[in-house]
Amino acid sequence: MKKIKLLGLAFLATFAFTACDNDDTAENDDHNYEVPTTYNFENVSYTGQIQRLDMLTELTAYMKKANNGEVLEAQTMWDMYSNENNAFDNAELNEADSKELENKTVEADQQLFRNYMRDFAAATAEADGGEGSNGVAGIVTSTNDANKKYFFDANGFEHIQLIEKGLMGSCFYFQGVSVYLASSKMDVDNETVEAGKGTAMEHHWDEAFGYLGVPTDFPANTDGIRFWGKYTNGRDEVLNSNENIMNAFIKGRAAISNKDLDTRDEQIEIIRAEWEKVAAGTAVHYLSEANANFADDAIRNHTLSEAWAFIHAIKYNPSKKLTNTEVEAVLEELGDNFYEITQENINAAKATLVSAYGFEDVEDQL
Amino acid sequence: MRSVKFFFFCLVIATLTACDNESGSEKVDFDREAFLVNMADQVVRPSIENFATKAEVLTSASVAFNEDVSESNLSGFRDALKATWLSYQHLAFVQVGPVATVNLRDRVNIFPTSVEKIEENITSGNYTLGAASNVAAKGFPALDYLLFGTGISEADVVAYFADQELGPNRKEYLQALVADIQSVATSMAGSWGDYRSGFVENLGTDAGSGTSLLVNEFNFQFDIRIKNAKIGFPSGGNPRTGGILSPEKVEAYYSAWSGELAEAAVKASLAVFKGENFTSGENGLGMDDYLTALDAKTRDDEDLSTVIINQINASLDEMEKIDEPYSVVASQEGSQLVTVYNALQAVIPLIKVDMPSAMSVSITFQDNDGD
Repeated sequence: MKKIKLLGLAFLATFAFTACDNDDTAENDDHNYEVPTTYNFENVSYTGQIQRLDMLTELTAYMKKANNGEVLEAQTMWDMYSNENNAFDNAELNEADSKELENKTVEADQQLFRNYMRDFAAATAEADGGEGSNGVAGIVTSTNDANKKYFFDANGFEHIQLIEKGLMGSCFYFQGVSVYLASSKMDVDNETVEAGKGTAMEHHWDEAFGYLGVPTDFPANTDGIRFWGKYTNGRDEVLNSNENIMNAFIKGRAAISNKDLDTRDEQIEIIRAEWEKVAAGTAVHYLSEANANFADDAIRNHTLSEAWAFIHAIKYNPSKKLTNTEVEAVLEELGDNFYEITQENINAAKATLVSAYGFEDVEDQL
Repeated sequence: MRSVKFFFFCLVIATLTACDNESGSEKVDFDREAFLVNMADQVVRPSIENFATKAEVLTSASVAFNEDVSESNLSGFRDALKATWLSYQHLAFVQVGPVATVNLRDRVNIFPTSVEKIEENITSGNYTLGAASNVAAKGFPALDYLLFGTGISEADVVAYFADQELGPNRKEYLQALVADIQSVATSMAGSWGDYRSGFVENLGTDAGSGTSLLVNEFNFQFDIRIKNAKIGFPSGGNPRTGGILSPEKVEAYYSAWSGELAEAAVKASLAVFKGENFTSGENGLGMDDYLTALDAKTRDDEDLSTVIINQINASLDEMEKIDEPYSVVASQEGSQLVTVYNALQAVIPLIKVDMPSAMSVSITFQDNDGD
């Protein structure tokens, strides 16, 4: 009998001492919450992001017609960019009229992309299916692989890359690391749960994740990866980017749901740093390709156009390793005519990136 | 048997008492009515009156300049503009009641101003200042352009208004801009009395209550209009800019008063937070006292109210290091303004997440940029 009484008192004592320290638990280093192995949480929703990836997929498919000699319409591309006039084959995208690529593009670049589309359409009209060369817009076929042909403007720039990869940077990456993981989307309510969407903070985190373009069980599953998902996977062998980014997204989401904002902040910095490495690593990869195919106008100009867009993307990360002025300097090194670029130019641009990102040991494997 | 019962008794007691810290916040020893009365009578009302007084001087200066377009009258006009603009920096923190009705911030201080729109209005002589299309063509930033941006020297500005052809239209536009500010001032001063009683009697913390309004407006002004608009957008410090510099977006671009106005604004944030008597500067019941009564802590378990004050002061220290006009500073990447931005940003989680959470207030404005 006495034992039970004692047990009661002991229980009361233990409970009284431990029950109200929930404020302190977040400060302990050991998180007393579970971090799942996949992006599997309650109330996850990022349909707006999926729709924007779908929009860019359709825009890219339209632009690629230029490689087969078709003349493109600027208005068609503008409509897809701002989601107007039922521009898409997928009716669901036309109906999602509040969703568009343009108003999510960093403001400083919105007109730039409109101009790219205008210039691209004008170049296809001028070329009218004809062959391109230095000073002449048109289709250029690889000297080593007749299956590879690309439409370049008179200076050897491939607008498809400037626009598709460009929007990956100025829209998806920008939104992911600079908007959704920044103050205006993270210093928000984390108490009120909206069914299907979670708290405001959880929802914003999910939206950042949505721009990565990977399935929730990535990297175990790589089906359907696209845009950044594809390039993250492309650099994974060297940078371990798949796990680094995915784990940080999962851990950060678990931390938010458990009010552990210090851990959230650590994951934000990891995501920014690793995502940036993918952009820089991909640029280095393409610069190496350009060098390796220097004599092949088609491959060189194509890979340089890819590299150009990935370098430009580096600007849009608040924790970036290069300043925007330095990014501009790398782009200037590549010049404004890819038919007249030198290997020294390419190597100089590459060297800046390799040293800024510590790729010295892996530059040739990227 | 009795002991078993005792065990359960203990269990019940433990369950009932262990975690009432949430409901405890309701019983906190803080006189919310006294807080609202202090904010209404010692902070908001005198700030409205001060603004109205300054606006009257501005109106007189405008009339004098209109009657005699001279360098000395221009100088008086400029001084009056500066005084009114400085006065605005405090009032913008308490945009409640009549101040919200006139939407003071949007009505008198949208920048950058649209020179194109201003010149179009002047040329046509046909405009409705209240129209949405004219929000960036009026208020202090428009006066900033007209009194400073229309010429390099004072003589140039005087010549702009003395112009044979467009001079009369220009002067008329100037009068219209000042009249608009004057009407806002008159309306706020005239309506505050009627509004006050409802404000101090709404003692809850739900949306629309005095406390909720004060906390929300304080946050909006600090986060959106100071941290972002005055500092983060021009300097590229706000990540949303992609680091792109826009020095032309600073407040008071033409007069180069950007630094003085921004410092006045951040100082006003402290005064409002502390519930300081507007006239005497004496400390009164403010948000700081409310947080102290709630024993509110930061994420690092420090006293929230103290950390907020310290961090705002740290931002001010950074601002005081800047000597040049913000438009000059902002033309350099990673400038001192980015340091200021980061210091101001460090205040945001404290005032926008921790403070509302401690007070059980919801932040009702949000980033208007949906998913």
